[in-house]
Amino acid sequence: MRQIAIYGKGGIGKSTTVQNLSAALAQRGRKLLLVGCDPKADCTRLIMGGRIKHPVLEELRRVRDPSKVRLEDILHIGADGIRCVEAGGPEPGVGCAGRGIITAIDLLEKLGAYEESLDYVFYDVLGDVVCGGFAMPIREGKAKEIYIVASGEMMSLYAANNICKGIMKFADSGGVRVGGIICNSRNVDDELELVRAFAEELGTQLLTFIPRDNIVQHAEIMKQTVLAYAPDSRQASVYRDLADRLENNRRFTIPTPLSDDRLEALFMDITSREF
Amino acid sequence: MDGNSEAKNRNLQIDALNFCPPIGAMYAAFGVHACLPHSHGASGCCRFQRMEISKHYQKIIRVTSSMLQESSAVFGGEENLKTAVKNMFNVYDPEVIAVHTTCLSETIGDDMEGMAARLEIPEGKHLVWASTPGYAGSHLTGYSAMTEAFIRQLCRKTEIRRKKLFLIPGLLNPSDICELARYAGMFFDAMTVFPDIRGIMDFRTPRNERTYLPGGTPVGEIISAAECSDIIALGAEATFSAADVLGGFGPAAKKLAIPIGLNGTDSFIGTLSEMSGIPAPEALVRERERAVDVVMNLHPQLFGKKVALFCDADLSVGLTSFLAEIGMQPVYVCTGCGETGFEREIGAIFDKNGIDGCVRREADRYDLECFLKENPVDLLVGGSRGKILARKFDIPLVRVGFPITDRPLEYLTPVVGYQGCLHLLRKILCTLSEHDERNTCAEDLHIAESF
Repeated sequence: MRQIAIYGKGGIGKSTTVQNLSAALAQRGRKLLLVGCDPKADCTRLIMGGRIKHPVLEELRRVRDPSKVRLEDILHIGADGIRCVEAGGPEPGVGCAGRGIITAIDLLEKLGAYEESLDYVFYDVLGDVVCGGFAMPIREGKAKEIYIVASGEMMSLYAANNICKGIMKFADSGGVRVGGIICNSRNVDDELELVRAFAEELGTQLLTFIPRDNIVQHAEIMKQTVLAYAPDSRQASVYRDLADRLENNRRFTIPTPLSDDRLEALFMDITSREF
Repeated sequence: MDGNSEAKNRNLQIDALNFCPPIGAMYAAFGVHACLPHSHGASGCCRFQRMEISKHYQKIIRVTSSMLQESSAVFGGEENLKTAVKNMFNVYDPEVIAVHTTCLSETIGDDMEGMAARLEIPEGKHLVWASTPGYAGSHLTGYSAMTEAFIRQLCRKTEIRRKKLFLIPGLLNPSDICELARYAGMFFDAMTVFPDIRGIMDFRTPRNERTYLPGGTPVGEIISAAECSDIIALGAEATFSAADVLGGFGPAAKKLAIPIGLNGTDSFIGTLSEMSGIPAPEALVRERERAVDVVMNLHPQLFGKKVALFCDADLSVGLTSFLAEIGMQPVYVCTGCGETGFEREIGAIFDKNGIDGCVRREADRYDLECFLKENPVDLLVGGSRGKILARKFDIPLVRVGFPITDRPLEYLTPVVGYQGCLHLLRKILCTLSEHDERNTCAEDLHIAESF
């Protein structure tokens, strides 16, 4: 079983990428569990054809006692037989979402959601790793493989770099490694070159470059993955290619985060030629 | 003198000298009449804190808890607090509820201000809340936060000012507050002592949970505190912030150290006299004379003896000054989680009395132990937990401060004022003598000591 955590700046397209990737893997016959680690509970919407009604924490809030939560109430089977769980969390500005992730993942383990027969477990974690709770998926030997979704936008690479700083803490103790950067294109100048250079300085690789295509938006509106909505589209084959690369990926490294100055210099070097 | 404070460089505390802020917050809340302290946190937290106060006074005390559990940690503690407050008014019928936060509620970011505003408080009742994360400061910090919260949240602004003293005594025993109030009463006809644990901590808690002891500061006096002409706050870390807030309403505030020893008491009396415009009464002058005589008599037996002191910061300042003025050498003064001003104040006492001493504001008992290994002293002054070191190094221990959990009724003996001065002298000399006698063979024992 490969446990994989996906990180990246908020709004960069983590959930969309993970769900399309999952669909591609599932269509190859792989057995997957998708764990949404975002209080908004919208990480599995495309697989489930709509939002899950019972995130783990919502169920916990309802029954109060963790021992009364049942796996069948929180584990949902979506398109292509993909198992989906949403951690959920408190309403914005109240309580502790980070603690919620810890509680939810603990509960999943206790309830036996991590079946032996699974090929992949994906953790889709919100935005920045703001506190210990959001590092839960990579703690205590859970996900040992991390992919970071980024674009060529400065703030996105900034966030990716910061996430790597966080990962380093777990590299020694938990054996966590970065498998690569997935570039979800925003059509900025020299994007491919920039993200590839960044990935290399970070001591990792650019796993895939996903071009920007409106078909992703269309599929989202229809609450579907691109693989379900337009299986023959070019974008669908990009996700299939991503699945292929991920399955065959053998390059796992401890990241070497850039200093802020170096990161800014990188932008200067590559993109300033344009203006 | 150099006494390396190891605790600063270590990643763990070994036998901490301070308690966490919620204990201080509870302690202060008990000083308000018919007030029920409430811990907004997990149940174990409250139990530990409650027990420390309970052990010091050897009595049952009631403190309620929000009993936050896993789901409250995730979703916030508001529902629990709402239910708790409703139950408290129904079951315990207090006049005031004093809520303090804990590590858990602070770390998950419970918005106490908003939550408190949304609570349903019955007509004529009150709720006060203070922020006391357990990891920020000592029990004095918590005492200060709760005392300040009462003033800030209950006291009404007014232009009316009448000759009345508002005395904020700090984290002391009821017997100490009796002494302070006795002195203040010689100068002021009207006075509010807040927090006032007289008649509360030194009496049995009523069996009926709806009955409250007659002691404690009446809530009305806190509401009208701004009418007082004068404020005296005793102890920098526990009381000064409340004095600043109340001072902002108009009354004149004087901030002093806890009056322990002759100098400390003199300056307390001096302030009272200055504020009231009344000279010290004859009875008080005679009381002082007696204390001076006793110090003069006993001084030869104490002179030059080295003391290591480990109390809370405010008490340490008063005690260091006292030990220095009776000719002893307080060579090591330490506290846990003290503020920076603490080292400055103790340093000033060292300078004034020519003492080559060492002061530590972030020490633990292991630091003290390390010091004692290198620097033998004649006497230890501090709480019950010091007895292990006392035995280990065969040094006599005088029990002072909070908490004293292994000797009954210690809280009945004051340390403040001229009376406190006599009690302290007696305690120190008795302890030293008993220690000497234990190490003397029977035939060499003196029956009478010449004083």
